[in-house]
Amino acid sequence: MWILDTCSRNGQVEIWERGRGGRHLVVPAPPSFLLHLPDPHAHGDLLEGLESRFPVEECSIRTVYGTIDGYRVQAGREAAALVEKQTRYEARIFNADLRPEQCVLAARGLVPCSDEGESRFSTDLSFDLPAMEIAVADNPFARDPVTALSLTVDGRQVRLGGDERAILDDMEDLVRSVDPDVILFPQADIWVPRLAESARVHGLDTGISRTGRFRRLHAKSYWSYGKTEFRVGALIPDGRLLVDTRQSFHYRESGLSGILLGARLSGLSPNLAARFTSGTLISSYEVYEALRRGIAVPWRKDDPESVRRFPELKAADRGGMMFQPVPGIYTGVHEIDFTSLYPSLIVRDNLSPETLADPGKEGFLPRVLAPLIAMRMETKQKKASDPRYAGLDAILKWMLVTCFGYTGYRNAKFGRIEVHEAITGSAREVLIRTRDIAEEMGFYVLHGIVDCLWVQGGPVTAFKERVERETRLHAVVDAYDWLVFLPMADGTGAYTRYFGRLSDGSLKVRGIAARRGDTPPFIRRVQEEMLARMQQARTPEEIAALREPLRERYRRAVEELPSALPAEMAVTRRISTLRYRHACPEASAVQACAAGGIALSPGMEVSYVVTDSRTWAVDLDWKAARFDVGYYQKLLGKAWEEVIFAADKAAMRETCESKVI
Amino acid sequence: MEFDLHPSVTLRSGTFSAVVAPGEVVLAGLNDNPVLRRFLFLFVSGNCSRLLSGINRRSVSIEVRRAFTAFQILQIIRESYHTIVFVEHDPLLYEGAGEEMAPQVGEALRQLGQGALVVLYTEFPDPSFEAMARLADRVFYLASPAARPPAPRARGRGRERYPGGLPRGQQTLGGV
Repeated sequence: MWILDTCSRNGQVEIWERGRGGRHLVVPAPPSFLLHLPDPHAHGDLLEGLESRFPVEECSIRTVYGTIDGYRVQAGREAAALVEKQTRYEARIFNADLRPEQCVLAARGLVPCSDEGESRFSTDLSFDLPAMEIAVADNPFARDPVTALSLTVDGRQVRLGGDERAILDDMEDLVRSVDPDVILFPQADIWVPRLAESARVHGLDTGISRTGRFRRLHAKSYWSYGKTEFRVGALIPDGRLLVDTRQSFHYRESGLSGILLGARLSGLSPNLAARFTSGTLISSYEVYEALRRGIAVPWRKDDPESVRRFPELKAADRGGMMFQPVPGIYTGVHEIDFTSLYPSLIVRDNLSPETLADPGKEGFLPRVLAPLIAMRMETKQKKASDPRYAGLDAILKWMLVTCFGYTGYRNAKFGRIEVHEAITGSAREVLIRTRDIAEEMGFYVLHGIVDCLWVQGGPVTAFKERVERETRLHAVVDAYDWLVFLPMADGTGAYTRYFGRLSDGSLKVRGIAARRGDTPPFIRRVQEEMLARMQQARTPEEIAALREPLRERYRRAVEELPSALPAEMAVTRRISTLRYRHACPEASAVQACAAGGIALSPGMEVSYVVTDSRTWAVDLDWKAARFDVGYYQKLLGKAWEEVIFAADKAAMRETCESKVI
Repeated sequence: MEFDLHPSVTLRSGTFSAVVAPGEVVLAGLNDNPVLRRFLFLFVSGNCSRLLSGINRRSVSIEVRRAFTAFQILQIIRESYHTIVFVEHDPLLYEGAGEEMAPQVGEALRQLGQGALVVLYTEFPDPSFEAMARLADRVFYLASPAARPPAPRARGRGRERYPGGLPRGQQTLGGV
């Protein structure tokens, strides 16, 4: 059974098979949880009370730390919460907050988006799902009726126009007649609730859900990696995969194949895999793996770090290692990059909460992450020659990136801060050892960030082999024709702002205007044009020769800027709060949205044009009629400085005939 | 056993005290305090401690446990065997943990305070801190030195406010 969608409703789990006429199974899934009482005799009354209301049976509870005695209680989370309170939080409760559909699939050995007998860890993911694309031409943030909608199937597009009722009626007919498994729809999570409501008002159905029903995924703001993020709410159709192609991070990064692989690994419906963060996917994967292996999943995070001496804590809690580069332009540079370093260290060093006290025991985290790392090695290798693997590689990359951070997350089911620290500690040792190997072999180390080292010298193949042999980690090496490390404001080398031409002729750009998400399109385009010119240069000498053409492009951009369209000056930033304490453009943008009747939540992105930088006055991008020319000239100047720095250094290099400037 | 966290705050064994004070005042009381070297001292904080980086590791012999959830802090309190337990309050721990959690932790601190010297500290009190502080034996509020009313500005030359003598009927030390 190739499962396309799952959900839980009213104590039942519903499972939809793909395809027209695919099976729709309804499986009873009464809620239950596992209960361990440190002293059951002290809680005799509680157990009697539970037994009088719910089915309760004694059982063994297998945790990552070992097996303990307990009870299986056929009751929901509310009962678990009451037990917790009544025992003054001494009771340990497991499996109380799991997704019923994940539990059912795990118990039956079922896997979403997979043929029977197919390995979840296979990188040869083949699927042939009938798909339809829907697009609405109107502004999703305006409250006006829909006036133009298009549906595309197999490359043939049908445009619907007229009044909203007629559009909805035609859309329903078309969706029902095609009956696709997948609907790709930009801004679906904003449009579908509106379309569904309009259809209801007109006595129609959108046809988007195979049963006519939707599940609601609530909007939420959350904190992730030091930033406030926002997940828009959604209406999820029954029995069909609906992807918001604009808002789904996983669709943008890894396409449909990535979403299907995410669902396969995590045991979630692909509708959820498309909308959840990579962190939620990896944690769902760990939970699904635990369930499949019969390991109980703790409800509460109640295993704190052990007692630590102060100096010991200071030594352990230090994060990733960085070496600071000297700003300049360099040739003959190689970048050695460890593939999925942190998860590889979890596996290599057997790092898991339960192995801290018992290092000889095989850890849960290494066991479940090892297959993902093996897949990633495979997809990374295959994508070089076959772009179909790029999506699978991207989803695996993001899941593996977040699995490390998740070990230190306060609500991680299988995480502990000491594991987090041990991983960063091992990574520091790896980077230092790699530097030492490089220097022992006569390389010159230019820069290093956590899992990457930039070196000059050779032979690089021997260096890579020795590093892989000594660290027991997989690494890849990229060769640069030239590489520029940019300076910070104080003149010392910036850690994460560099760009260079790789030996295959492509350009690698990090941290500069063209790469930043908040750079206005006009400035981005100007810098991209300049970089495209530099990309043609194979040597610093050729870059030096570009100084005048680059300068000319900059002068032209300065001249063109005052007459550019205001929308070209849009700055897109994520807002972290709705109440800014100081005057700043984001605060003004929040006010502008409020004035325009647009409901905002922290973590949402807003696009605005600065109209007066002295007061941080802004207009929303789609309303902007003017902009502060002086402010944008400064931004343009900064983007220019990043480019001309390289060309000037290249010219100086030519003059000095020095290898390193 | 007792120690002075501040000239006006003496903390004793067998008590649970809640302290609201500026960080620098508390650090001054903890660093270079000879009493704290002689006893088992447990410092408990959340993910982001305002104090930890300011503690002089050579002057104080402390052990540290960080809690990332309210359930973990409860566990830490229950497992504690230290003579002095200093808990730096982190309101984030109680977000989403349920209303009952803060009083539960407060109760655990109160019980721990029957045999140890227990301090619950914050610079900025919030509802979860208040819920725990209600169960404390004593609550201390120490104002920030910066928050005191400004001292009268010294002038180059004193200015006589009332050159013709004090207003009639005013009772001041000058008039006594």
